[in-house]
Amino acid sequence: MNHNKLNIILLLLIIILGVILFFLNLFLGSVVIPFKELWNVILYPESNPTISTIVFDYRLPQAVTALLAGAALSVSGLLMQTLFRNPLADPSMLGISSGAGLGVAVTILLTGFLGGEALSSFGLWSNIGVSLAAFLGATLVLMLILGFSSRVRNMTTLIIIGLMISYLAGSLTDIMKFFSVKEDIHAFVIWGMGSFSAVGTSKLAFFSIAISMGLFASLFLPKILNILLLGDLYAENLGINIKRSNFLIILISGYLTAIVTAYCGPIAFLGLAIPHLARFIFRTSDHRILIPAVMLIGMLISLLCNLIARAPGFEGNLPINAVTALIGAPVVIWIILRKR
Amino acid sequence: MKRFVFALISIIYFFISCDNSTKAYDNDIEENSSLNLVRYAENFEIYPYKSGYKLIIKNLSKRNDTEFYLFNDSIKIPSDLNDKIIIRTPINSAIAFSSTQWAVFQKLGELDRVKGILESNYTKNEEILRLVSEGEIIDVGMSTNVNTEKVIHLQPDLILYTPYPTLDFSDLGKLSGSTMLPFPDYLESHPLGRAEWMKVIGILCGKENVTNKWFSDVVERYESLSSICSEVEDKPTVFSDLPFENQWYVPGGKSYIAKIFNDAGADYIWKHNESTGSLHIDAENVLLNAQNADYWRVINSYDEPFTYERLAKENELYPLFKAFKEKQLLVCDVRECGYFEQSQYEPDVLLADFIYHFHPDLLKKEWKNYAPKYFKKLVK
Amino acid sequence: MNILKTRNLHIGYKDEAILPPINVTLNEGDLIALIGPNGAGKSTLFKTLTDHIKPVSGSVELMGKDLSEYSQKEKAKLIGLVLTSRPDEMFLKVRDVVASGRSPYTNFFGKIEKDDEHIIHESLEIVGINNLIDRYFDTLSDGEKQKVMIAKTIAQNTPIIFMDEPTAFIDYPSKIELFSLMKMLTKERKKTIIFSSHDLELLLRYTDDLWIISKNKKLIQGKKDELLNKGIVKEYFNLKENIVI
Repeated sequence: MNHNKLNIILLLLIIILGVILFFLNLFLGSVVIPFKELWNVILYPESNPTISTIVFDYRLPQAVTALLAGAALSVSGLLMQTLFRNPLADPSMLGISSGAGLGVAVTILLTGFLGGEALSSFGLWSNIGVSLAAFLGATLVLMLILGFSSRVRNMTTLIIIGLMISYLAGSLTDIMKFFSVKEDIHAFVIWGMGSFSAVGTSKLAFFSIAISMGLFASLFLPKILNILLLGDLYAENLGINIKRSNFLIILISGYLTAIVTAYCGPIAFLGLAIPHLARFIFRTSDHRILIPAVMLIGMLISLLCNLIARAPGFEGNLPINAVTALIGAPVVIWIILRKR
Repeated sequence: MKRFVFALISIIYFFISCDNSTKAYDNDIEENSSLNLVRYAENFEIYPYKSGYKLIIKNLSKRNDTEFYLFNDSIKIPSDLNDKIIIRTPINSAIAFSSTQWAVFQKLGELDRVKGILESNYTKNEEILRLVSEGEIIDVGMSTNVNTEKVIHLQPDLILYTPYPTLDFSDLGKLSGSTMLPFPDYLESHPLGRAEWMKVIGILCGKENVTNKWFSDVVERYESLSSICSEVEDKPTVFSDLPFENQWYVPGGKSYIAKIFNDAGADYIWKHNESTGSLHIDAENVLLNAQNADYWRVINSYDEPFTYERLAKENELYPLFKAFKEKQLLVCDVRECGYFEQSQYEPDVLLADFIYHFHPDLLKKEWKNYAPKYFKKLVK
Repeated sequence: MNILKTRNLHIGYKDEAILPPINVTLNEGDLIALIGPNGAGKSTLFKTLTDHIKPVSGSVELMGKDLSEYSQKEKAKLIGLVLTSRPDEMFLKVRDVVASGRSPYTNFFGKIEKDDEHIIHESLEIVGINNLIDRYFDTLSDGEKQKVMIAKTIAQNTPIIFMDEPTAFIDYPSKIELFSLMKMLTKERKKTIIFSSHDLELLLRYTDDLWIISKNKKLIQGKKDELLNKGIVKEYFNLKENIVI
């Protein structure tokens, strides 16, 4: 019971830190806003429309996006690590991010072919454009992997298939890029750097609902995941339908990765590092604790990364991917060295 | 037979071009389409509209064009334009994404209307660099990564941006509340068409009379220069550009620079190509086609001046080209001449530069003692 | 009571039987050692009897009903399993491993009720490792790990337990402990245990019945003494002299 109390204290601590970071995300950015001014705008948004726009229409959706994307990628990474019982597994493992990249590359090539047909000229899709393409690419790969998962029981085989699909999508992407106009490749490069600012107010509602659905679904998995830790044969003996549970886990993990990748680009490292951090902090492998824990820690670290990426001095936003690995890699090394 | 095919092609072409011209915008402007104040540019049109102007910017997709109504501050806005995009001139504040935009403001002496630019580290323009360092002009990032916060903070009346098919700036306009004016000048394939975009900035600054005069002078000089080369028989061959990270991109056969080569009485190696953009050509094909070209046009955006020795070290293919062996490189050093921002508004000067190299004896009268401004022969 | 019965069971992979038809019966309280050289098909037999792979032909009857007629959940309450492979998760606790034995009985979220808690403690007590409950599985010795896996299977509360080489890779005293534990489970708790092992002398000392298989040869079921006297054990293992216990 003592242990439970400790866990609750730890979770509360993470939540408090998260709230602080959330407000820091609203407070800090490339435009310096004095604290008094910020407070004034939070209480009376009309008092300074410009500052209010920066805080509520730019920083706020970005912070919410960071929060949700961090939670989603961390849960997705945890599911992959448990499914494959491999500490190096991460959301990109099954080629889903590469699929998203391919979707973007195809769109870029097509827009080039259609004689400078702007993405934004597709009317309804103007807001979605690149995101939609990325989502379609990711979903295609997800379907493929799910198809394989119901035929293949061996996890190593599945990992190899995922890796190969990843390479295939990567090479197709390079071919697409080769045939694209030089200027258009910029769009791909930007998407590839990862950013929490692309969602914006207009798409935030959809993004939030989509991510929340995936996160909610993951709350139903702890029992299966806990049993899977014993290995496939034990799990099957304990009444788990392996193919069905593999399907479910890949579906939820892939879905979360696809949505985040579509909107924010392929964000590296959070999915790999956060589950390790969560296990280390809570010293458990019980997914009833780990799933909420990775969600909260994922939010926290993601907000921290976003804060660093936008810190004054990094004019014009550092790419998120530059920051995630910068924070994530030392954390993982430190944890692994301290474990024994 | 040949003649028949030619006739057929001409007829087909005629129909296609007719079709194009009727499709674009049919109803409301048709009656005064003759009043279009734009002569060469294909991606914008200006019409007088009730003591103001109606500016139409073609969308990249050539569908849904964007209309802007520009009125001087002192004029009351006509009541029928409620739901239209209206710009009051002269504008007080603007962000200019491209150097080709702020260059006109500068030339007009209206740089104080420009509050923000992009990629200030790429320009060598001293006045701009000074204004940026003094904080009069804010650098708001790169075209691929615009600092949204700073744009919102500046809250300019207008954001002049360069539209690309894959870059979406719509959120930027929504957040900053600024009018977003696309400026696809780079799409113009006629040198005078590109230069004509100065008229848009002219109206925005309330100095359309100045830009109109500048432009008609440019047209006059350009046409007189190109007419002296129209009859030349002996055309030197020319190709263009260095590889970028080992990929050769050369201007298409219908591009802006190909047109200037042609008007300067030269044969551009890829003149039969139909593209108005840039072509990706592998090194073998560049060698095959351009090895014996007489001239090689090169832009130097590095910090050091070029020498033949240095170039030969950089890429062992270069010395294989005839133009290289015979020291016929025509180099524009962007540090010296402001090529990227200014040259598109001086196509007459560019043309004179090339005629100076290709056919020096044809430059007569007022051009007699002409010294090239942008492209100079690399001697060492 | 017949716990398990096979009828003309052919085992193997992809329609290819690796042994002649098997007809064996298991009764309540049996402690049976499956012996035979590596590659003879012991694992295949275990996997077939626990329904991880399908029989090539013939049938397996569990508690009077064909194995294929049970749902996965029902089987989880009838068949317990102890394998040679072990979890290697860093922060997995002994408690969590044993608790997973209760999963066929817990709700959708795997909530451990009071009863489950009681059974978990009891299982650890039976195996004699109460003191390890809060340890990380990763930090245990091989013998202790094996006991935890057995405690998990006891918590699963199944009438029949299959153990794949439970005595491999553990030291001699632990082996003896394990054998007496198995004996106790069958005699006092009326479990039916069938296990494979290469520890010939020990298993002959603790078990009553043997199943002997050898590559491509018939599976022989019989009383230990009977098989020893007939010299069948000697023949199957190519021993020079008879084993005396």
